[in-house]
Amino acid sequence: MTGTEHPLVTDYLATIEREASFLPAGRREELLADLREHLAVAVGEEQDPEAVRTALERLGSPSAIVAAAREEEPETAAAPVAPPEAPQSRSRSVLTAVLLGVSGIAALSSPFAGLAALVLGLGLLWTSAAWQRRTKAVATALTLAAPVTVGLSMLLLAARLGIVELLVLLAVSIALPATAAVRLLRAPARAA
Amino acid sequence: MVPGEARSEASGRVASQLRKGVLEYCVLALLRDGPRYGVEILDELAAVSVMTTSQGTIYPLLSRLRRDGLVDTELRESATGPARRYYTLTAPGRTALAEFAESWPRFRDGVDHFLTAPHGGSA
Repeated sequence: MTGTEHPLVTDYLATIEREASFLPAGRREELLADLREHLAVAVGEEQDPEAVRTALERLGSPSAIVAAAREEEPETAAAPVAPPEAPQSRSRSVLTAVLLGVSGIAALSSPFAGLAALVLGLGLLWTSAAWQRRTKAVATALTLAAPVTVGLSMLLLAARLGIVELLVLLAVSIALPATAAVRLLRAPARAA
Repeated sequence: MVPGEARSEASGRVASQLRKGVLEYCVLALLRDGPRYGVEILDELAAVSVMTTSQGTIYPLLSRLRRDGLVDTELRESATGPARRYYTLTAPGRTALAEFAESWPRFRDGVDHFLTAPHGGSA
């Protein structure tokens, strides 16, 4: 038998347990164990009621102890938040932007290379958590606009394509994906 | 409210505010010369009246010091009673204590400067 089984002690610890319900379970258990150990040492085995009362008085009111425990808790303990996702590495962001950005130029030299850059870039873009959906959609639209414009022009104007039209198409197929790349690199970090 | 009560309540608040910043260093200082168990630490603190009003409030503090790695604990059997949890100062704890011991005199002198030195200008 130790001093921790005295009814006064049981009541005292039960009050603290109740008032400390806001603490994480582990922390609350630790506090109760500390107090139990303290009382076991302070009261001794005789459980003299006077000694129990004195020991509890010196420990202080349950609410004072619980208030002290509250003050030692970090602010965030009250509202546990999910650990923030590791931010995307800068190199992945750059790779995504570059793939999309060069897809237009690449397509001019080899349609296959352009398609590969486009597919890889879009894959990286849409599996990433670093950009907001809107940013992704705009980048995708800008990047896809280049091959779509070139393709449509080829189909519709094939016979009438002059040097000026070709230069415009060239500029479009370079500028639109490049714009998408710049927007991606400048996009603000996604709000948590 | 009785004026005397109001005064003692206010001074209690002052003491509690002051304690907040220094109590943990007093605990670390108590462990400087060797491990002590909980009841021992609390009794030492209680012997100096300004340091604590209710001993039990020290346990959450000790728990935080342990989490922060400033103290270590170890349960040791006792010849005369239940096992006792001993608190030991760790190396980071010793460093924290040394840093506090260095800045405390400057802090104390700074406060004393304003409390005691005669100041010019309107009172």
